[in-house]
Amino acid sequence: MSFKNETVISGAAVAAGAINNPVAVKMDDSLNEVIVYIVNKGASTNFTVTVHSSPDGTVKAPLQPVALNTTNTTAEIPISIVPQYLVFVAVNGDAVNATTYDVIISKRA
Amino acid sequence: MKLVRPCAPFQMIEPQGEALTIDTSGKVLVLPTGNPDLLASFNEYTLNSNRLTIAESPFGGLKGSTPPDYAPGTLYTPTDGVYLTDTSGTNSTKTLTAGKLKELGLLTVDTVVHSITEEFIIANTSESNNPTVIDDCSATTGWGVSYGTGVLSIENGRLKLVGTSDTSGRLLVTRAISLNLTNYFFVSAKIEINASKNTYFRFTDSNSKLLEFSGARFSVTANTNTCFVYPIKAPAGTVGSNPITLNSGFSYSSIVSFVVGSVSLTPSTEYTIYIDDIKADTYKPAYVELQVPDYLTDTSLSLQCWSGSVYYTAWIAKLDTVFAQVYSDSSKMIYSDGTLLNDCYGVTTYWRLLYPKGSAGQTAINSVGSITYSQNKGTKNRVGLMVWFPPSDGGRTNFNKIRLKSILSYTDINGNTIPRLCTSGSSGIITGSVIKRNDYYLFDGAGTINTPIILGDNFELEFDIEISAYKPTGQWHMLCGAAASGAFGFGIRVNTGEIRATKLSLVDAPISGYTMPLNTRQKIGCRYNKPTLEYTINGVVVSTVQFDQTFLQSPVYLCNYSTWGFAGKLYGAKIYVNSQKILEFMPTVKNMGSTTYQFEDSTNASYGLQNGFKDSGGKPRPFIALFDPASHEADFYLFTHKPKNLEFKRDESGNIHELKLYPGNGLIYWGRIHYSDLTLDSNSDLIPNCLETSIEGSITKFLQSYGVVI
Repeated sequence: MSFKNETVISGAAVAAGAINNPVAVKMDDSLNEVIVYIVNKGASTNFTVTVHSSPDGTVKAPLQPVALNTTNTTAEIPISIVPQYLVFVAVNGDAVNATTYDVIISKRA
Repeated sequence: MKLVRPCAPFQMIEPQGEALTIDTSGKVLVLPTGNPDLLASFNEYTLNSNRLTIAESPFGGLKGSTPPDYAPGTLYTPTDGVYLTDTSGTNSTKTLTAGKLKELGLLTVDTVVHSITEEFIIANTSESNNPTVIDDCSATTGWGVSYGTGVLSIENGRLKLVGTSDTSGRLLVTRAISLNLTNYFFVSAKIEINASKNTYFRFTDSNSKLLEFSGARFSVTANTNTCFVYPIKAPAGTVGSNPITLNSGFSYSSIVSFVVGSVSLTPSTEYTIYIDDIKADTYKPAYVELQVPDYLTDTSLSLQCWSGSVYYTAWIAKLDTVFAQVYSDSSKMIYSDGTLLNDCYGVTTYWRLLYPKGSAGQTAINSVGSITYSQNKGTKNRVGLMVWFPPSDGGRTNFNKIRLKSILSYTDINGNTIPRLCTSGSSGIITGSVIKRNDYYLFDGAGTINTPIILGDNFELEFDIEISAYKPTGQWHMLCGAAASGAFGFGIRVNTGEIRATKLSLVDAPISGYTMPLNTRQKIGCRYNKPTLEYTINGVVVSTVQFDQTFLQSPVYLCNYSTWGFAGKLYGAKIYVNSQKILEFMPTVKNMGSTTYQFEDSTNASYGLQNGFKDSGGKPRPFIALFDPASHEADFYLFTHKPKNLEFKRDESGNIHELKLYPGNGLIYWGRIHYSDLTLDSNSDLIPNCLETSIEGSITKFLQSYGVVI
C-alpha cells in the first residue's frame, strides 16, 4: 500500500476581506479514509477554510474549520468517513492582504 | 485514559461509567457563558486581563471585583462577625481570593521551592462574643463616687458623672458587686470624658487584691464614646492591652467591686464622665479555610505572625493527610495591638488549632478538635485554622486582629518531598524510603571513614541535587572517592559551579563546558566499567575517560568535611556495584502542585455549571474547550446532555493535565481544530476569534448546529 496525493484545489485566489463561493470536490467512491491538507500560500494573516461534507455538492454540513496565517500556513484534517463531496469555503479575514490556497487530499492507494 | 487524535468532525468517547477521566494538556479551559461575569475564570472571555497570568500564579485567579476565584491560596471564614482583610486592613471580606491577594502584592507562588506564600489579617468585628451584662448603666443604683466629688445621673441610657477631680487628679465612680469572672477572659466598658485623658478601670477582690487597667494605652479623645476591651486573665505588662497591675493571687471568683473613671486628670477641675455597657465576655473561635493543591509536604503549612515590625515563625505542621506538629512557639502569636495570645488564654489552652486537608463538607480532625469544611467548591482541598479572638473595641485598637503570613508547601502526585538527606559537614545515615544495606554511611566528617562501600571495577553512581550557592575554589559540595595520602579519588565534585572529574594521583579538572546552575535540579553521575569512566548529566554522557584503576575501599562522601558542605538540597542518590543495587532513592516528579478544581450543578457565579453552556442570547453552546494559547490546536468536548458535574486537575506549570467529564445520560464527543493564533481577537471584545460565534471557523460557529438535552 502507498499514499496517493492529489491537489484538488491549486492556487485558488481569495481577495482581501472576501468570502469565496463554495468549491465542491467529488470524492472517489472507493475511499474510506483520507487526510486533507490545506495550505495558505499567500499573505493573509487571518485565513479560514471550512471543510464541509456534502451528499450532492450543494447541501452541506460543516466537517471542520482551520484557521491559518503567514507563519502557520498548513493544517491537516483526518477524515474517517469520506463523504460523496467535500465542499471548501474560504474566508479571508485579512482586510489588507489577498491570498491563494491549495487543498491536497492524501489517500492510501 | 489517553485519547488519540480524533478524525473530523469529532468522535465519540466511549462511556466508562459515571465519569470519563482523560489525560489532557492545555492551559485554558473554556465553558461558554455569554456573560463575562459568570464563571469568569473559565468563560469565553479568555483575554480578560483580570485573569492571573501563569507567571503571576499558574494555579489561576482573578483580579478586580469579580466573584471569588476559589483558586489555591483563597481564604474563607464562615465565622459570624469575622472577616479577612489585606495587611492594610482594607478589602474586608469573608472570602479573600488568590487573585485579589496577588493583585495587592500579598501572594506569591514559588515554583522553585513549590510554595504559596500569602499575607492577610483575620479580624473579629463583633463587639460582643457571648457576653454577660455586669452593669448596663441604666440606673444609678449601686453606684457611688469614690474619688473626687460629683453628682450621678442617667442620660440617654448611660451613667453620667458631673464632678470635680481631687487634688491627685482622680475622679472615679465605684460599683459594689459580687462577681465571678472565672469563666470569662474579657471585660468591656464604654467610657467618655469631656477631655482627652487616660482612663482607669480596676477590679478588687475580697482580699483587696487588684486588677488594674490604666495609662496611655487606655486613653480617650475628648467627647468620644470609646469602647475598651480588657483581657482580665493577662499578666501585668506595658504592651498591648495587658493590665498595669495584677496582684498575685487575685481571685476571679470573689470580686467585690470595681471602679471606673480617670486618675490622670487636672487636679481640682470639673469634668463630665459617661460610663456604659459593662460586660463580661469570652473568646470567639474564628475558623479560616485555605484552599490548597492536592499534595502537601511534611511541612505543609508554616504560619508566621506579625509582631508589629517583623514576622516570627509561630507554627509549622504537616496537614496531609493527618495533622502532625513540626514546630510551635505559641509566644509568637500576637494580636495586632501587641497583646500575646498566651497572655490572654494561657500557654496550655488550645486557643489555636490547625486542621488537616479535606474537601467540601468533610470533617477534618486533630487530636483536640475538628472542623467541618464549607460546601465551597472550586479548589477541592483546603486546610483549616482556628484562633480565638476577643470582642472588637470598635476600632479603638487592633486587639481584635491578627496579621499572619502563611507558607504552604506542596508536592507532586507521587508525594515526593524534599528529603534532607544530609547537612553540611555532618555524618549520618540516609533514612526514610531509601534502601540501605548494612548501615553503610554515605557521608563522613573530618576524614574518618566509616564502613566504606567497595566500588571495584564496575559501578554506577548518580545524585539528584540542587545547588543553592557556589562553594569557593577548593571547597566541595560533594565528593565520591577517597582522599588519602594527598591523592584524590575518582569522582564527581561540584565546586564553584564546575562539575569536576578527578582521577587518582592526577590533578582534577572541570568537565569542559558544564557548570552546575544554581537552584536547578540536576542529576549528575558517573559510571565505571574498567577501564572506561563516563560522567553523565541528566542521564547523558558528557565526558569519557580511559582509566585503568580498581576502586577498592572507596567511600562515597556527601557533604564532606567540616568546613565544606552542602549548600542546597539532595533529592536522591543511586549507587550500583556490579549491577547490584547498593542504594537507591531517586523519586521522579510528576505534575508538581497538581490541584483539583470542582464545579457543581448550581448557579454559583464562580463554579456553578448552570451558568455555562450558552451564549449571551441563551442559545445552547454545549461544549467545553481546552487549549494552550501558545499552541495551534484547540480541543473541544461536545455534550449531548448538559453536564451537571465537571472537574479538572492543574499543576504548577499551569498545565491542565486531567479532565473528568460526566456525560450523564448522554454522550460526549471529542474534536480538535487547528488555529494558527488562539489569541487573535479581531473585534477586541476579549473573546478570541476561535471562540467568537460570528467568525467563520470558530469552535462556537462550527458547533452552533448542535443542541443539548437540558
